[in-house]
Amino acid sequence: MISLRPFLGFLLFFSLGFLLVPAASVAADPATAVEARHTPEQVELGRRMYQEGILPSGELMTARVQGDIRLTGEQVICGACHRRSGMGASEGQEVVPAVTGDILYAPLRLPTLKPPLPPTQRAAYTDETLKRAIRDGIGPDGQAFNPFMPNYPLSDTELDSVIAYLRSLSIAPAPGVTETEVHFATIVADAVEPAARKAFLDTMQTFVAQKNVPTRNEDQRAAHAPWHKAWVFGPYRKWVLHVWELNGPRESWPEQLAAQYAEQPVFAVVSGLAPGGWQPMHEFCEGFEVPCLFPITDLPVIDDDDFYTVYLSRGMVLEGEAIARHLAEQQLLGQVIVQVYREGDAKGQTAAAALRDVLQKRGLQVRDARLQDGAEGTTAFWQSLIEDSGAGVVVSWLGASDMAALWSSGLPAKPPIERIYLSSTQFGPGADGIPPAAVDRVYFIHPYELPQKLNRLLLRSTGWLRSKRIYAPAEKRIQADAFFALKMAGGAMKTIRGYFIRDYFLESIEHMVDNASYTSVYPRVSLAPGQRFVVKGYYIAKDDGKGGLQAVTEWGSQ
Amino acid sequence: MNWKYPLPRIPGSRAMVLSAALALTVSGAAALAAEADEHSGHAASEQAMEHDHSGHAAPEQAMEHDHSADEHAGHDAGAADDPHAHHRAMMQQTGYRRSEHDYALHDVPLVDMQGNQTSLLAQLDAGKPVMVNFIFTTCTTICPVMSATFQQVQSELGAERDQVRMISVSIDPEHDTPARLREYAELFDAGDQWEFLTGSLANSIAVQKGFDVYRGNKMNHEPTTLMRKGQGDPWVRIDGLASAADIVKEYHAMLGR
Repeated sequence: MISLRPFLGFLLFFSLGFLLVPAASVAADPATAVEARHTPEQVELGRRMYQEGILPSGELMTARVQGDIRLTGEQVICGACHRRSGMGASEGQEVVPAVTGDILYAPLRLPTLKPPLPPTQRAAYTDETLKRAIRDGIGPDGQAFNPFMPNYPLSDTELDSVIAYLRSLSIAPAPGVTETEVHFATIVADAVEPAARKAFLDTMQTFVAQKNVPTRNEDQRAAHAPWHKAWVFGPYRKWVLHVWELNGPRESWPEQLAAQYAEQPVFAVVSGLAPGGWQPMHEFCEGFEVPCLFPITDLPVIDDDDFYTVYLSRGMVLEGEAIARHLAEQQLLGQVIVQVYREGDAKGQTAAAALRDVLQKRGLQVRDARLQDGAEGTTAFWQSLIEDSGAGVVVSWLGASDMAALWSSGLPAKPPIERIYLSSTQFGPGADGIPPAAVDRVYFIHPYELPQKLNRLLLRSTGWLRSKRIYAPAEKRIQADAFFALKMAGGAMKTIRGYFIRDYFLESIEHMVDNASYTSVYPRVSLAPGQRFVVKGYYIAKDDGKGGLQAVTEWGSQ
Repeated sequence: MNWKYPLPRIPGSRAMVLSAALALTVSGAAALAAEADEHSGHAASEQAMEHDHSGHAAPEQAMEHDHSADEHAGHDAGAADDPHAHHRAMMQQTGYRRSEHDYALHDVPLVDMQGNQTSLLAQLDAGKPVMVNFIFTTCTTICPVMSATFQQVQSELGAERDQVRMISVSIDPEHDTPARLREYAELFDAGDQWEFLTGSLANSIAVQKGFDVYRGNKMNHEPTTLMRKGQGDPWVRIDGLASAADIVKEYHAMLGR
């Protein structure tokens, strides 16, 4: 006799296995209250141990793995694996469980940590079993832990502080989330060109409007979920998108941002468009601990210690460094190198500073030439610049109109000039206007997919934009970047399910990006814990004679 | 992110799936007859499992010695008594798996941590025994432990460490610049015998594929250590988290001491 039951078991097993999130799936009960017996001082001592690996004595924590592997400092920070949110993570087959107090102190039933193994039942921890777990790697039911969990030789007092912190971790409900709605903001400055603003806001608002259409009665399902489906349907929230307009001088932006936030707190900021550096928005998001996803900017804040803003690209700094590197590879560092940018143009200045920094570190000089505000790039300007300096290499951070006089001067085709670098962000991604005699000496720094490959790469967004009748081909990058930010936000909301914890939201983005099927205008995007720029590569490219560019370097290689 | 459960890379996992399905139904007495049958099949596949390394690509002659504590204990005792025993043992497995392979490695261009161009074979065929692992500098769970293991191995080897070459290949070469690798190496007190390699993404993947450690995405990578006595000798592969003493022991065994 053949029984069907094994087969049914198989089905049940897999449907569960693939639906659930491993690290933090099903907390048995809603958050248990923090106990008042922990003092704020204890919580802070615990935070230092968990997030920084520093003992109350000020010394570094140490721990052991597999009996003899000694770990210390950054390697034993609890939050490195269990993450800042305490919601855990996964890497390869290793699943790092969630360790927030409300999850640890409740019984847990996980489908399984390693399918096809059977479900994991875990009794609720007590202070005693939790201490034993951290010290000796033994779970509340007496089973040994995964060997990657270090054993920490901590005293009772030290462990009490860790426990106090775990009990406080990720339990405050994130602002911007109600029973039925989740609030997001996007940022637009008043100086953004009307066409760009329209293309951007069309994308943002149409996407959110479409997301909110309850095609599967999601709101009804959430309100009346059967008990066994509550964890799937319950977390559904309508998205509310607030457009935060920034007006007037940049100095007033922090105040405006704080005021907007006070009026309606948001769970996260998604994309954004503002000329000049992203600093004010970056500082706002860091200060208010609000995730800020993929603003469209060439001037991000590059700071390894900051957490809340995730950028697409390092922008103009990446471009400056890329050229410095290419100069070295092409053995052009012995030449007289002159770079030109426009006074007051933050993008040009930033790129120029990055190039200068790299060369200075190698003990080399680059000469800077500035086009004064209001002045034009005339033939006389270029003539005197090149003849005075004897420039072999000209790096230009100027736009196409400022370059016209150089092209018509005949100088680019003659000695001393050997090489001209242009930024395709500033100049445009093509050889339009460059005389044929000079075109072979002109190289582009191009931190995007090559122009001739772009339409195909973007089909996923342009198809949607067209169907919504909001496609703006002239604002390709803005729409593509905005769409990417929205897709990522959507994916992360799905991953965190009912755990509306901002840090967890960002951590899930760190894990998602490498699997993204849509990569905006970049050939490849990638992220990992702690990384904050998804675009790692660029092309140095030349005119391909067919209106496109031909890469002369590989994307993203060291 | 890859929030799906990664399937365990255990050869014969199909048999395990079946047994898991069975496990869910053992409460039903009606399934008992079928179960007895399935379990005989199960046991047979488990035997095959020792040798079937279909999960591993590349030409190889696999010689498996299972060093995991008591991975298959459940089967000896008779699965009928406790169908979960096997899986429970799997969960608590703290050992590692040793196997030997002949990998057909291509000479892939790479970049060392000084920023110099080099290549895989130039690094491996240095006339010394080599140990290889795979890391990335922003990895949080596996790599810090893997790197700390190498750190411990180099200290346990003492003066002998000059006779071995240790190599850590970045699986996130886009982010891991030579400068970042130098910083990382310093964090683990890497001696002169320990080199970190980066390069292009395609080349890093080529190296990973050559050693059959490529899992499609850096966040999926697994703890594997490889060692080889000399050019032409087989590679000793250690899957799982081994202690530094175990690695030193395997190293000495490989050298014939």
